[in-house]
Amino acid sequence: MQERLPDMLVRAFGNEVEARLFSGEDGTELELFRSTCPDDRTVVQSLVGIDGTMLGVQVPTDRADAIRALLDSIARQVHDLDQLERDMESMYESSLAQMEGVARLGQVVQQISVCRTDQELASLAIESLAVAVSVERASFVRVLPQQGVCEIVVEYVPDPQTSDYRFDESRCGEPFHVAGGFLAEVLDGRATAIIPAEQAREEAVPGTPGSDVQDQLLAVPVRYGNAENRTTVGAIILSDPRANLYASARQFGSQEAELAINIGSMLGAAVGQRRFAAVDRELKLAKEIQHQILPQVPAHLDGFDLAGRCETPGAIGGDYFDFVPLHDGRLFVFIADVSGHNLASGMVMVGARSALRLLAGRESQPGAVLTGLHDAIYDDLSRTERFITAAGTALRADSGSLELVNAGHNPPLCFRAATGEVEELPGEDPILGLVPGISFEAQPLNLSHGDVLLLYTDGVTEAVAPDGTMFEEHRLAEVLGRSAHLSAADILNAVFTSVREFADQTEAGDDVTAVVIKYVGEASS
Amino acid sequence: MSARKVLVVDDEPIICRSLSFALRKDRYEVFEARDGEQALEVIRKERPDLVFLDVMMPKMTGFDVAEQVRQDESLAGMKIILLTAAGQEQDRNRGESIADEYLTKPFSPTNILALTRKLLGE
Repeated sequence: MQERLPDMLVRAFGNEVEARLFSGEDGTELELFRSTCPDDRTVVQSLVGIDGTMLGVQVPTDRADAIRALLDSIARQVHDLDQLERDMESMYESSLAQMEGVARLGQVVQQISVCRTDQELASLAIESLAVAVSVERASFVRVLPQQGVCEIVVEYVPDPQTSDYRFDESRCGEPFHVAGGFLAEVLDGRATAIIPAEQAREEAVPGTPGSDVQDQLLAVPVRYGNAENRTTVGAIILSDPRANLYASARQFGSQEAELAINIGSMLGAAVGQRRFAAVDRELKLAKEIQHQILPQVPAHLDGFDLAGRCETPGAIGGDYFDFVPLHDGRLFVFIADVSGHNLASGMVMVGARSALRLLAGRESQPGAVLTGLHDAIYDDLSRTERFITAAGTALRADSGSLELVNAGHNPPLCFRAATGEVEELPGEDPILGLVPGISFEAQPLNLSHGDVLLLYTDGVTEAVAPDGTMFEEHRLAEVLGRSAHLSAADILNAVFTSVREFADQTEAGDDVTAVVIKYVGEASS
Repeated sequence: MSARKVLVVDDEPIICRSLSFALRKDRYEVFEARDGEQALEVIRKERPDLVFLDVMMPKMTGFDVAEQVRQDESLAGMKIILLTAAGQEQDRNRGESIADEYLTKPFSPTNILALTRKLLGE
């Protein structure tokens, strides 16, 4: 007679799986087998139902090894399934977090152009990032102009009423010193950092991001510019991962850091763009002012035909010319070149102009005007390590007797109608701003009818052709000789046209300035 | 009250699965379909309260599915959210006339859940 096979009951309790063998004859328990899931989670129970009953099979009593193998296999599969489920969950969460990140980045990109202030930009970026990463607190800390001082610009925290974030202004706008620690390192651009709570709390200034963190902190710098010229605007600091509607709290990792870096880069670029635009506007305004203070119409003086022009390739120039009445009624024609052609040169030039105009009204001698000018601006010039070369001439109506003064400036050229020759008129006085306490002296110059005096800056003679050669005095003299029979305005046009045609158009050159003084009166008496 | 039913229709498995996962976490009963035909089957059988419908799918577009739902009086009141890739703005008018909402991908899961709660009156 064939022996009746016993029943087996498999049950799972927590992470343990057991099998009981019962006699097929009378139902008495024959043997108990146990196996443990290679994991301490208690998912098994939910998988097999709350009463623990999973399946009952009949196995022969002498198959203990087979039963153990079966149990181990069940335990392993339960474990694998459980692991798979958890992996899938974490993949879904990661994929949702990525969707959230991409969506929020897109939103920031779309709205960034309509933000009017740095604060609006920061709000947009920080709120988006807070939602995308899901954190307990997202902050933007701005670097203030004083060394080592920062302030919180915006902070977003979860709104307990809704699933949104709200602006928390309670800690914003209070300057604090950053002595060191993670924030100093992040602002130095040395690191994007994920910092454990303990370290963050120790290093953060009380009442600033990090001082109240419970779990983890993620900090990334906000900068603009390229590697050679980078400006740090501030830092984004995310405190404590937080569970949201669809995901458990994820520890900060590369995905969160990447998103923070991307949004930080966009914020930095936008702030940088705004700053550059603001500087551009200022420069345009400065250029306008500078242009407006140059003589707008050629001066008129009986016996002379006068013309002057200044062209600045950059936003701001350091060249200047002027027609100013002297105390004795003569007209002082003045040309000057401040070293450099940037905003600072332009400011020095504007200052020099005011001094010159003031002095001209009080003095009658061109030498005295330059001496006074030198005294007035020497301190400013030496402090800013700048200097000015200048040349000027005093003209009396209907008189060919001039006085010429030259402070280290390019020697004026003089066309003599009688011979058709062009002379160079070198001066011997030094540059303005180089040596303190010196005086300047004018030299007499006589012009006959048709003679032309040309004052110019080094932008003319040092204009560079594509092959590297310079325009130089001899080309300028040639242009002057060729055009001297024309009106002052046309001589000036000839000079500028020649320089423009000669110079390499691809290079933004120096400022170019020239003044033409043509004597059309009687010969000097 | 038993859980509200939501159907997610998208031929991209990762979007379909992730969105279902998020909705399940928010305690909805969620069904999935990978194309328009499957979607209509589930719609007629389960009568979901809300359908997320991808526009660009093979065989039958989301528009086609939505139009069939709207023509079927027995399905009146079913909320439909159309999901479309950015850059297909010309379809917006068509989408807005048949759907309750017209969302542009990439969408934010947070917004999706907020919208679901709003449309289902929770």
